[in-house]
Amino acid sequence: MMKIKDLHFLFKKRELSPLELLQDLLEKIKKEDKEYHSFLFLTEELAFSLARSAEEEILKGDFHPLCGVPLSVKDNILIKGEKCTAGSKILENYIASYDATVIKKIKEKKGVILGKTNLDEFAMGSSTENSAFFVTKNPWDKTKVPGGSSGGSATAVAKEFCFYSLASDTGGSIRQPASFCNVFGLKPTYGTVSRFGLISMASSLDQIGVIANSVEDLEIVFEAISGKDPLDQTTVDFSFKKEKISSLKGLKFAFLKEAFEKEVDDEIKKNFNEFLEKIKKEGAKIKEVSFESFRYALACYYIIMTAEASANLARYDGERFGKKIPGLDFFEEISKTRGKYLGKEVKRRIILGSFVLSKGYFEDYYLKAQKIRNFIRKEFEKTLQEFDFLLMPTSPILPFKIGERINDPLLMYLCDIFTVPLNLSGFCGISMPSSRGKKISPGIQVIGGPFKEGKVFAVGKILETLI
Amino acid sequence: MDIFSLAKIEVEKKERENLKKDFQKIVKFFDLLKKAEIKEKENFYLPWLKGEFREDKIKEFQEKDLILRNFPEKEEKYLKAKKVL
Repeated sequence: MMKIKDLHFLFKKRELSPLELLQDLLEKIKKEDKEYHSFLFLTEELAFSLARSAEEEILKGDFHPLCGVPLSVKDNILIKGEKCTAGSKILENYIASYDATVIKKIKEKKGVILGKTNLDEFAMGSSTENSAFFVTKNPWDKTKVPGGSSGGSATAVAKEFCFYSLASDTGGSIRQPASFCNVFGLKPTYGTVSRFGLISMASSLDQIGVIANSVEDLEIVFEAISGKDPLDQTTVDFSFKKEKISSLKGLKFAFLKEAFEKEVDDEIKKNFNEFLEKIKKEGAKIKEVSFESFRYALACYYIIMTAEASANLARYDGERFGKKIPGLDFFEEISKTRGKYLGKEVKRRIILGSFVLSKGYFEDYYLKAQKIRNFIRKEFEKTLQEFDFLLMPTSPILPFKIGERINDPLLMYLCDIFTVPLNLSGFCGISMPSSRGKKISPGIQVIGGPFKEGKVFAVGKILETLI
Repeated sequence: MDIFSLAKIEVEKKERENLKKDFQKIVKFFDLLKKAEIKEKENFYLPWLKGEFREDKIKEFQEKDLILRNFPEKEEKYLKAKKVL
């Protein structure tokens, strides 16, 4: 599998040009993606114009590592002049009027945007089955789901349709599909990457990150997209610094005790245990930690996320953009439009969010969840003051069959038990395959403290040599 | 006011029943938090976010046409909507 640096080298030696590569990839996507449906649509005109600019840049001599590198973008990140559907019927015809900050940064570096990838509607789901358009297939077993909500992005990266994908992670939407598709995914520290131009689901949890084929590629892209943005008030002054770790010897890893509970598949437990043994052999110090908050994290997450989503999604009323059903009066029109063009899971979450925020229930649900969330953050803080890293599986189960869980929302939510705590804490982490190759293998999460992306990448590169 | 009107989502009777069933199951799951014996007084915050406000300065958006073309109903450059009051 070619890495971004290898491609950069080929461009440098003029052995390959961005335009040639673009043509090859478009051909490959058109031929092979019919079976997987990772892309919602291609942005060919934009891709050719960016590839031409990349060629000019390369001819000038000094060019960015992402110059000419083909990428895909989850269809909840705005690209000026292109459709942005968020996987929803309500935005089927919506055309973005500006670039998200991450897109602006990639365009400046002449990254070649190939198209927009499929997702669960408004990024709500863990299987990409909630897309209003079609279901994406797992790249290594077409009868199974690719995970979600960034299932299109993970499949596109796994099938090598693109070198990386920009996606969003609210409760695991990057890490879980990365794990299901056996690729690498990064959920950065809250506030390191601008959310300007990302279609918001739950603003205090959403973060744009990356799906790629190696830790090094995650690092290159993270460096390019992170930093303070005057257009996103929650971004912080941050400039990424690379770190180096030469071996696992003496590094302190905590691992989550709850990874071995009965709700977790035996295969996941066995695999996680083998991984721990492997790093122990390399000289890592490992110790079990238990999170008192763990059993509350999922409920806490679903309360906060639905509350925030119900407010954020109030803007989809069909009045200023999107589809609309003309009604008798203003509010009837809005209710009818939302009833027809929003999907089942989206409705479910808006209704739940409206409920947990309503008078009489607010204290018991929303406020209680806020307090538990703070406690979760403190448990992460305490653990990562004592240890260098925290390890846990990415998912309690392996990819499941298409249709197997879609009719049971709670069963679907349970897919997220190991990914939501990180979003609740605001800390950073990656998911990496536990075994390399074109197959399904359980993902491992490597979690670091806030702004410790450099350290996580450094250790990730060593761990990558062990899989 | 029922929860569907509060959320401004009109759904047909059958879908309403299904959503209600899911809703009850999920809220029961949320009730787990009521029993949580976690002693934490403060609401969630991230220590590294300062919550600074930017200057309240108007910056004109140059390409209004790109916004106008997304209007479902319009008259010239105005958005057309039903009377609210």
